[in-house]
Amino acid sequence: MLAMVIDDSRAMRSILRRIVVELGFDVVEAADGQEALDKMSAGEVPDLALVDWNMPVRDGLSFVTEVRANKEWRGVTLMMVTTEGEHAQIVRALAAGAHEYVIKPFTPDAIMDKLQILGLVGVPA
Amino acid sequence: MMTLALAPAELKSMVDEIWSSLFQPVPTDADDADMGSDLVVGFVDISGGWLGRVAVETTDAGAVAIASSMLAAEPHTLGDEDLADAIGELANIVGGSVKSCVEGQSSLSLPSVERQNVLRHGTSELMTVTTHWLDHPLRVRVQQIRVVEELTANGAHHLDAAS
Amino acid sequence: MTTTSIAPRTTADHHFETIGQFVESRSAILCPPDKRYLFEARLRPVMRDHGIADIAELATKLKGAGSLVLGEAVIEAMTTNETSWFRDIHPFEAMRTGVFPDLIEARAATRKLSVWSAACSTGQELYSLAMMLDLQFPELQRWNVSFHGTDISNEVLAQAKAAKYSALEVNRGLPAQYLARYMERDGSHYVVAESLRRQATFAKLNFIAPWPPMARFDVVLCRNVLIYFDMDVRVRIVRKIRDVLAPGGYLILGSSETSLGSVEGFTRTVFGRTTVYRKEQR
Repeated sequence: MLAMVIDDSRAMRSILRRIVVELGFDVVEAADGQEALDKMSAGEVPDLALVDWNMPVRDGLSFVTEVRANKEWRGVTLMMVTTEGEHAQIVRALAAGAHEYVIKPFTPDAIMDKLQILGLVGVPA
Repeated sequence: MMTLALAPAELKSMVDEIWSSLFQPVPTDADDADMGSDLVVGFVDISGGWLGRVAVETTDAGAVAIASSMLAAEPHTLGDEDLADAIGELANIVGGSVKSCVEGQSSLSLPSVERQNVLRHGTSELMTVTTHWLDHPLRVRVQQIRVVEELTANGAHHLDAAS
Repeated sequence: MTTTSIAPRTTADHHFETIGQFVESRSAILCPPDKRYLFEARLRPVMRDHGIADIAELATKLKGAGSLVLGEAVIEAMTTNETSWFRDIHPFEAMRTGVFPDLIEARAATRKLSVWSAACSTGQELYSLAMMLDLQFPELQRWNVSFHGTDISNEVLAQAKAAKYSALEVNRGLPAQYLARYMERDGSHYVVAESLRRQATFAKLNFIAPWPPMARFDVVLCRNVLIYFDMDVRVRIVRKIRDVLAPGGYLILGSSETSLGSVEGFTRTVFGRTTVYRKEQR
């Protein structure tokens, strides 16, 4: 399975990459929502996208909205990973079509937990 | 102006939580963390109902250690751009947590990184967490800023690829 | 120097392997080398609590005559989901699809349900269930549903009562839809909605000391705690639990706890991947 890590910080992308690789994913990175959309349009459609909110060019909310508007990308699971922790922001992201929401700071197990909830990795018996 | 509902002890535990989610070990309390002129500062500005700046301060060596860990890269492979990226993201996460304690609507700027002090001296509206991480001095500071103009840093020595 | 290197096999790898062997020899948890980043993160709080600087020091301490307490703390940390919301998921699925539909039918006359989370820790198990019932069984909003949590530690009980959790804690297994629906922001923390908090009570209880008088429960959750007791003590505790269960009530243990020992009065039922024990009707 393919994960796309979308964050304007290379350090954060590096951390998320390590986590999802250990959970069994191949990884592609993007530094903003527009670069992510461009890669997807060029054929790199991930099973899972980890999306920061605040990024230049195109932010995470806009990315989520665009992905959910495209029928061909219905299979993409969208997980926000962001410092935005206000209740209203969480509601906005879910309303825009995000499937899950992780608030920074987070541990690797938080990502694993969320993927188990989404059925993307197995739960140990 | 709205308030920042954050006690110094809370800021300390925020720093500990953020650190332990990323690094081993957690910072240890210190009485002083003097960096002299060997200073690397990542900071974000909070604006809206409350105006202020959140800064993560360490030495160049401290910044290298942080970036090395976050980027999973050997220290000798790291350039200024990498240090700026790592310290900037750290400031972003710390700033995000501090912002959650601002009553009312507020927003967080994108992070900046500089090699000089970015805070006003001699003001009482300054909260500081002083620690050591590994052998590096580390300070996290939160400062309220009264006037919007003060947010603009003049003649700054920016620590990013654009300079 | 920090230890998160992607270089080929290093001394850090060697230390991690030592710790992995320790964990594997004492638990069912596997520690493959390709999950090192995940596992290292789990060990950080333990290292912090025990003043251990790094993986090298931890490996040395575990190899040595060492502390039983440290060893247990490492095993617990590697189990990782101790304070997760909806821990292990399957028992909650079993409650949603089997236990509660049955109880709702059985208690239709009284419209009263009572749940006990024994060894409730900081409350996530109890509040997870309260959230799930509120969302999945809206008819229960007109019932008298009570949630009682007990634990031996005052510290965890204080947090359970306050129902206040950090971002780090809230990230652990709480589905976003529940986060949005049932948690309120309180500074940098999150608090369970008052409508759920007011249905929950918490008290101190030590399994092996005399229990206070308790009203009958319809569901008792006693997950992953009996394993710390000897079999004969375990059997005695389970008998006491049986005695505070209403007839037809359910006892739910941890997923790996598949045997009650020699305790009469229960019928074993499986819902999905979860074994539950139903107290006989009489």
